[in-house]
Amino acid sequence: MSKSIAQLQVGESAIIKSITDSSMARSMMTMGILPNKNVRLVRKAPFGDSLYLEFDTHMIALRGSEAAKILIW
Amino acid sequence: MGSNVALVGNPNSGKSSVFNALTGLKQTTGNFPGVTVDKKVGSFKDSKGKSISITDLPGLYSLYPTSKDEKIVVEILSNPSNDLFPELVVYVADSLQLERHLLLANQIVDLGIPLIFVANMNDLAQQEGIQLNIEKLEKSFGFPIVSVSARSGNNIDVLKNQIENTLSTLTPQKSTFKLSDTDRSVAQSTKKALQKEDLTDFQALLVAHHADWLPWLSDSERETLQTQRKDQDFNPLTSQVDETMKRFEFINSKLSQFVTKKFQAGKSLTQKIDNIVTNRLLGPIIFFAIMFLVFQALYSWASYPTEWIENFFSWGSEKVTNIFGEHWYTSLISDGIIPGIGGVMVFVPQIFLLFLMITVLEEIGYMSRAVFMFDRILKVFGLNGRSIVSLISGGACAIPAIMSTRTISNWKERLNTILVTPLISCSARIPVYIVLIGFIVPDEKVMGIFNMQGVAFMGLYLLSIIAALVSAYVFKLILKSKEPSYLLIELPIYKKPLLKNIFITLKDKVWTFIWEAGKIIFIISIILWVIASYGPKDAMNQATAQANKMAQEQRLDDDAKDNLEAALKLEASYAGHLGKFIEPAIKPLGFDWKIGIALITSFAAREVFVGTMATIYSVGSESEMSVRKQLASQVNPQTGKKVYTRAVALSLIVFYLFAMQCMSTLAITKRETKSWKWPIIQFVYMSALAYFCSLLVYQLMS
Repeated sequence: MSKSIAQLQVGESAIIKSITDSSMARSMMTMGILPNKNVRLVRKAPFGDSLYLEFDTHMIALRGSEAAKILIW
Repeated sequence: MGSNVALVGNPNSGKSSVFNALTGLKQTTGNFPGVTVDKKVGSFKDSKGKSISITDLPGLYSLYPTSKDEKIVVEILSNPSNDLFPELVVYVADSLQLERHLLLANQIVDLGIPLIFVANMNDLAQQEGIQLNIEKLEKSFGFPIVSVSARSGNNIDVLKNQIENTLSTLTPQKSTFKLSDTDRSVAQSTKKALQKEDLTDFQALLVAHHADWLPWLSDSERETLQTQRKDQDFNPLTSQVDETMKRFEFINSKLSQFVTKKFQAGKSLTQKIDNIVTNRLLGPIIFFAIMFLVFQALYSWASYPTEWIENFFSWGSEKVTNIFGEHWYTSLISDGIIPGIGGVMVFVPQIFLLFLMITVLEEIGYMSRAVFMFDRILKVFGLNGRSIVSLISGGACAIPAIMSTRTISNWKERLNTILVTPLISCSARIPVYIVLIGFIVPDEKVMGIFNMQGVAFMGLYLLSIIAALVSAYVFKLILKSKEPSYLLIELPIYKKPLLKNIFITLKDKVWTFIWEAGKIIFIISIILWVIASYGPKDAMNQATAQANKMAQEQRLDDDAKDNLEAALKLEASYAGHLGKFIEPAIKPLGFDWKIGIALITSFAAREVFVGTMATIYSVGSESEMSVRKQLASQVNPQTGKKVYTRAVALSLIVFYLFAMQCMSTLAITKRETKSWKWPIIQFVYMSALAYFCSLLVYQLMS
């Protein structure tokens, strides 16, 4: 079982391997969440669940359930 | 007719800034045919003085859209017969994030539409030391590139010239990207099925992808395409994902050669600000502090212009009566039409101020942080983080608030937000609260600083928020949906707010209120004037006679006599009869027929309550304080006790807090949901909530 972004610790970086859900993958990729890209978990939301992610050139917020679809190396 | 130029780009690309810089204030906002998505059209004059018109299309990330706004763009660009199909696309991209923003540009090129690529925010790119080899990039991607800064206005004239030049030598855009074999064969068979051989491969492929919802396809065409998809074993989703990946590979291979240095989001000032602003502890505190300040400012600043507007309209009414004398048409103008318009205009200062704050917060980039912070909580109640913008806007007026739900792509979450937003206490409820709050809490200070009534006010807002969330939770359990729900939102880098952008957005929102709410408030005001001024003839004559008699007995002066006559006439009017008719139903809530009249007239807008009460009790002045004083002095002639007890006032406040007494909101709900079902549900559930809560409050307290 590969790790997903949802399992990252705050401050930890990783490289994206793939996105499992294709309808999610399509929306995410068009926003620049792509395989082989760097990602860093900057923080979790004050009330939990949502993640503040940093990519090379931009930041995106995701839910935990969405992050679980993004597998990392 | 000018030329058909469309402005396209990703969200946060600075597209509206470019649009504003190009067209200035020469813009009109309308709707796309058949849907309620805002369409902005503007124009500028070219070097020969010819007007070039530009349509601003909603922002989107790719031609594979999720929300209603985004689908519009695909609907237009996939159909060359569409009236809005552009001759030229001006594509706006963020110079700091070219890779991501090139995806959609690359797709549009494949539609064969000539395209000018605007590399916006070139000043920021320069600061970061990012350099583009424009010549080489133009060659690789096959379109002209203009590097501009919409904020400072840098190179906007160059862009204008480029638009003019391209329009004079329009040639179909050549594709630089190769579709996969499967995609191409699907495109071919789609063209055959539709008998549209002039479509480009990618245009045909898009139609095949979106055959399920594209509104311009006929039912038989839709069916043919769907069958064909099955026969060819074509999976749109996988094809879209593969295509997106390949496009990015293509884009990257070019970018890595011709762009020096990449922007590093991690080192930006934005993240330093976010360390504080979205901090676990500080984040929510800062959010609520901002909201507190916003609403505080609202009350202290808006009250002056509101008063001027009120005075202006009552002065106007008086003038009309003085000039034209007492006729039915004078009364129609001075008691119906002028107060009708005034009733809309008094809200403008508050709505203006609240939307000013919201627009500034949006323009800076703060709102998406609020969405990020509160998504978790709102999700529990069946809403989306994005609902926070609508809920806050609901504090001004539910109408623009409901319209702002269009960014929520999940239908269930959007509908839920629409249904509960009118529960948030809007500006029309404030005058009612001001009159009634004095009966509940004394005007005293606690601990020397907090005004008790101010605290009670806050309590009412809190209560309205709780009611909205609880109702949303109930709807979450009832409404069914299989659609996936997303947060997935970009957190753009913080930007200094641009005055021009704020002004234009603000103008649109305030105008939406004046027009959408205004027309209905206006019509209802006139209907209410009719039922409040006319009644069965005998009863009306009797009212006048009785007023004369009582005035003589009590030796009243002319003003007092007029006020008394107005009160007795209102009782005798159709509105008075209606009030008495509903009295049995509202008696358990502690309301008499006089309050009944006010409840009925409140359907135009809630604040009409104050004016109606002023007339019923012949106050002569419509200021909240004099109405409050008059209510406090009312004694029930049979029991000798005060009419407006704490129980009655509280029951009435609770009723106004929850009841759906706004026709304009119902009309907007109908428009946004495209069905009568939802406004009816909204009306029924809010009225029921109001009735039972008032009943409970009154019965417990008396």
